Amino acid sequence: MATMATSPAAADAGLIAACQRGDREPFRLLFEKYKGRVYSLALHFSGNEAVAQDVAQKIFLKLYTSIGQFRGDAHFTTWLYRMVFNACTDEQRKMRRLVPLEGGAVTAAERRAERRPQEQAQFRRQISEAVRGALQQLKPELRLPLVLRYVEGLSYQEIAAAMGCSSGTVASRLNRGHKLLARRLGHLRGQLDRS
Amino acid sequence: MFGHVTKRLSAYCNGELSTAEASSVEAHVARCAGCREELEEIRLGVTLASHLEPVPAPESLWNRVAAELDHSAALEEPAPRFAWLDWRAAGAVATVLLLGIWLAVRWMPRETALEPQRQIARPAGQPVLTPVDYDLGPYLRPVQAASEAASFQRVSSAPPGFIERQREEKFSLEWVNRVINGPAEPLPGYTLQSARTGAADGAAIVQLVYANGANKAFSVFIAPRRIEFKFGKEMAYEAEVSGIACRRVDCPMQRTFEFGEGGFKCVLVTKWIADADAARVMKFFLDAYRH
Repeated sequence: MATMATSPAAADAGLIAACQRGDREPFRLLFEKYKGRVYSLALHFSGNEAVAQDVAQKIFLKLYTSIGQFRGDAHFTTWLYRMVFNACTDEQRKMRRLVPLEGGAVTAAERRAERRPQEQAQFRRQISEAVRGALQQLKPELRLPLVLRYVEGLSYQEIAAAMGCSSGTVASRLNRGHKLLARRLGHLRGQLDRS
Repeated sequence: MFGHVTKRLSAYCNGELSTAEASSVEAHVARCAGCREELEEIRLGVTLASHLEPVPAPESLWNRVAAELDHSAALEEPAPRFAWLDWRAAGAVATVLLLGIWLAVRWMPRETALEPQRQIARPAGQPVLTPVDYDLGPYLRPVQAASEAASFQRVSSAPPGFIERQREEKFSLEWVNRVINGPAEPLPGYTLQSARTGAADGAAIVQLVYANGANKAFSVFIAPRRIEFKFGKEMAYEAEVSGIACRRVDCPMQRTFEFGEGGFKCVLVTKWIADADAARVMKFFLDAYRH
């Protein structure tokens, strides 16, 4: 699991200052540092690799043009997560008329996860795939806290800062998200217990 | 009942409570069957969510970002300033141009000047759409031609039934041939792999398959009228991709972009290429059609 957001913004200060001067190379370094996190969040949120690439691309372009506005009042990662959150919700708004798929890839992933796995790593991957599929069934406001918590390892307070809400709201949304995941994938309980 | 701790169970499982708060939750759960049951459910959710893992970004992501940055930088370059332009010379050029336009209009045959804008035949009313599978392979027959290599290049050698249908619908195979035999490709790095002709709901239709040699591909279906692609329960929505109006359907495995104008309808189907590239493909076909 990635670790981030607990380091102070000062750690990136030099890099960010160079980016604010409009230099491309420091921006490339900043990109390399955060590309995995941004893409991973976008992928878990959208459930679609092509869409995740589009969203990640937009985020970095936005970052390039707006990094001059970053004043260091908050951690850079918090600021970046906020940008990711906005981009993901914008994307969701564009796709709001789409009805989530009940079958297709999600069902296939769950079916694969139900098979008796031969290896632990493969089993974990299969469960992960099933959970990613189930995430897509959740409302965006429940999906994002789960992704920030489990993919990025953020605390409730950090999630609240990224989403612009209170820690209590985060706790409530995670509560609902956990319950819905459990109900959706409850049939995997036996396999999780055995593993 | 007063004192239930259900709202704090996730925070408890995630270690977000203080020692005192956690003890309080544990004490309550020990004597409350309802909260105990709920805790089990939350725990299962936490265990499942713990299987989420970071996914590495594709190596190509930087190339895409850099390309867009270059593109934006190029757009932002100031327009050249014609400091050398003499205003008297500019006035003379404008006069000559206006005179030329006047003469062209004056001597143009009246029937040509008054010719209405060309109308492209369309089915009367809203066309009846029959859903088809997005993989039209079963519906389309490979083009029959003298050699295998040529079969991928000459759509006009389609079976007689197709030729008749395309004539009825004023579907220009010559245009398709010009596009696929032209020097330009819709997307750099992607080359035409196959061209198929066939029918969907009685309409003549051509499928062009482009691939980049790295197992990435997209198809463009061209038809004289709209062809609807069905994937499941999802709905299509009107979109604008890099300035190109289209009707878009997104689903986890495929994306389609319906675009075109008049009697020229295309559907781009892909699961690989990004929006910006999809826009380039659409622009390529629209430009080719308009010119």
